[in-house]
Amino acid sequence: MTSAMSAATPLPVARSRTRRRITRLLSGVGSAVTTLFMLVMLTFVIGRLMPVDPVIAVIGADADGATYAKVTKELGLDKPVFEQFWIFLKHLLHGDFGQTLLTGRPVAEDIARVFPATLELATVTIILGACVGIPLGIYAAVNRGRFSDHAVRLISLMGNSVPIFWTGLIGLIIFYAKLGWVGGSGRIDTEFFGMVPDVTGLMLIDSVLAGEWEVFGNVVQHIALPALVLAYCSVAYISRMTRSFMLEQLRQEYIIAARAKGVPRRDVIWRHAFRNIRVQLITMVALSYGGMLEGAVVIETVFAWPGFGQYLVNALMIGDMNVVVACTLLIGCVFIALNLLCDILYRIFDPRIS
Amino acid sequence: MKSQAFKATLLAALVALTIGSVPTATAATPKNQLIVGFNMANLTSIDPHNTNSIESHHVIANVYDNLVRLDPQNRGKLIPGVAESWSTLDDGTIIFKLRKNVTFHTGRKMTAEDVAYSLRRSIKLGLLGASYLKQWGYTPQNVDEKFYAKDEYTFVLAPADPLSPNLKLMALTRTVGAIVDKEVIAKNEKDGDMGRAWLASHEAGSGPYTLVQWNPNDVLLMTRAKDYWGGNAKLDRVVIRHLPESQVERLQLEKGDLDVAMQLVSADIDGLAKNPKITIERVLGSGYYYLAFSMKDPDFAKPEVRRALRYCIDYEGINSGILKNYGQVGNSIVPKDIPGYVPNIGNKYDPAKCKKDLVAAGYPNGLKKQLLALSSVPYSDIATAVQQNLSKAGVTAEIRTGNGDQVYGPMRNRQFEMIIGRTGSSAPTDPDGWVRTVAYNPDNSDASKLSNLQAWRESYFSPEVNKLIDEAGSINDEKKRAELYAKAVTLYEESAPPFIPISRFIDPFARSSALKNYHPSLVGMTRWNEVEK
Repeated sequence: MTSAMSAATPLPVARSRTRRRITRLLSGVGSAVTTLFMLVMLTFVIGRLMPVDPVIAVIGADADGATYAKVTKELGLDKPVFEQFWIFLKHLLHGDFGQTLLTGRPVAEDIARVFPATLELATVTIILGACVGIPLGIYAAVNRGRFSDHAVRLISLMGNSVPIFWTGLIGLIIFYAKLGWVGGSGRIDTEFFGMVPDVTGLMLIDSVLAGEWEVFGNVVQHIALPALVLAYCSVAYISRMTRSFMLEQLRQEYIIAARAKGVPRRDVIWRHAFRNIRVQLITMVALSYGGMLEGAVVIETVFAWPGFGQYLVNALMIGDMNVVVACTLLIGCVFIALNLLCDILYRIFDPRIS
Repeated sequence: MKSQAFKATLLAALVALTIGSVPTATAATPKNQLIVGFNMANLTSIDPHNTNSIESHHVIANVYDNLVRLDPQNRGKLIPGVAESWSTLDDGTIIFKLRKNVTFHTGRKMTAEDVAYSLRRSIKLGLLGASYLKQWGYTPQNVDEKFYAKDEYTFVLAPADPLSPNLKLMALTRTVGAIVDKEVIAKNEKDGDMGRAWLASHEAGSGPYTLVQWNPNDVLLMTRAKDYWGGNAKLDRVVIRHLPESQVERLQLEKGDLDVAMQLVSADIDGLAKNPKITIERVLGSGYYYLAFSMKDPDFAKPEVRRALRYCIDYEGINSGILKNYGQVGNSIVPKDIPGYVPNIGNKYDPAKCKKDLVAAGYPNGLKKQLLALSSVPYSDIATAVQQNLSKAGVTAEIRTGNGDQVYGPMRNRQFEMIIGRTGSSAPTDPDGWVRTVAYNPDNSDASKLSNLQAWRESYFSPEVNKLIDEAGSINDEKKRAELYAKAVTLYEESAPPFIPISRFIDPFARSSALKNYHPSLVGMTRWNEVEK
């Protein structure tokens, strides 16, 4: 009887665990949808309250009253705001973000063009930033108060305080104009335009897929400098935070106990202290990556990088709300996706989270 | 320790080797391509009839043809475009004979019907370019009868006012005179919009280049059109790159990755001028940066106030400082090189007199007014300088900056106090283009909504000046015309006008000295089909 009971017990436990997981998943999806809906509604309403006349932006201030009325109707701006929002939502659910006011192009097409440029730059940057910043922060923490710690803190301070505009420009003067090690502005040299079919929008990948190694080399030359400049700022932030996380751990009693037991220094750092800051590092790197995916307007301007940040800022300047709402929605999705990714990584790296 | 140092040195050497092994960036633009750089933020539409941004003109001039063009090498001279000849009748009708070998990029022959359709289009849709034609009396109601095809290759432009046909020919050289393929437009029309949505980002032209690709704020590609009636373009391809930073443009030009750099800041122009491989071109503009008052404002309605404030502005200082390379002092509404110029009239800087006259006008404690200006360079800088100049006479100018709609919108609605702006001219080498743009206002009522006329915006109204401008515009005797415009200018300037020309603008740009046959247009319609390397 006892043995039969013990054999039967795991089933309800497994069922209830599955139920819990489904409930958690549904609640996560529900929360994401609510967040996105609120985000869209807020952006839409702010857009309608802005003192910018989108009709004038389309037809110009010299157009006559009849044209003004016609375009107002075409854009649906003659309807009440709530009705406009409802129509907008319906289109959104069909994947239609509308058209940009000025060029009349579909917003989705524009975003499909500019977002990969930012995604490529941000990904290269965050890989560089994390790969350099985390070891640097740990190195500074374990050498606290020594010359190397001060050096890392100085690097961090400079990265945080020197304007990125200036760093970018100086980088271009030295590495592009003087040394010729990197390409100039833009994603690719003029002569390579149109040589690689647009598959993913990520030129590094597209050039490899097409087997165009010369183009790949040129893309690397062009992305190297903006990525390094952005990564420098990222390294400054990541190393400073990592140092502080590590210092906190290194002060803990379990570390002192490990040292007292004669655990080798390397193991104390990497197997004990570092393991305990991984969750914090994941959060920090993800937030940093999310920030970069919103677009680095200054770097995009200096390097004429046709990215998401410039696209969004230009739209804001003329009150192109279809673009602004679509971009806001995309940013929201990016952060939700990153949150989800962080959750998964937490579960992998933190045994306390089941 | 030694081993660690060795490892670090090895790593650094590897990094250097990796970077060094990557081939160096291209050091010269391809021989068969022209690479042009500028900030493409204002390149938002390439519809020739619906744009007034100079950035769009560069594209439109090369993708489309006009009936007539302005000779870039002979200021003010008209040269044939797709019209091989034209003649004018006594009543002002202009008859154009079209070339028979002009084809659109689709391969279809251009006919007079295409010309009529194109010229009617801007007016019927109320597009930006329409203001050039509306000023000659053309309306949506009369364009069908005024612009028509007499036969397949004869186009007739009948007058809607008594003004000189030459003025209308000048207007046809602008983008509003570009001829579009009516059949291509018909295929892409939506709800009878005559291609308004489609043409903003596509082309339907017959020019020496065809548009291949345009990614806003990134790149625009044009390739040589086949069998162009004027002879095929010398270079295969034109690439326009979005370069929002002047310093980066300068670096690219010096490095040889760019052939033409536009919208450079003054310091970069000065820097590039020392480079023998670079040529700086300065195109004298057809308008002014100005300070304008609204005469609807009770204080500015008084001529003695407007007259006093004119002495406050440091014209030399603004032109040699803020507008270095971008402007030259302008004294009156007609500059020296244009017929109708009147010497010793207009602007004079005398801050002491400004203050004294303002006190005499009944303003011992000065004035407080709002000053509108675009937030971009140089408008915001000019506004700051003007604010400082006016403050010396006790006038407080509260600067409000914004985009085009926020700044020009209130002026077009006659709801402003002071503004810094820039004028343009439909006829840059004809006095009419300068005088009419600023001083003409046939109906000063709010209801007339003549918002494309600067004088109406400022509520300036002088029947005498209007009469002189109308008279001068309707005759063909150039000497007599110049006299009449000079009279109009004198009358206008003596009336303490609300328009103060601060600087005649210049459009400078830098280009590789290796380029041959580069002839910049007066009105931003530079054609690149003759350019060689």
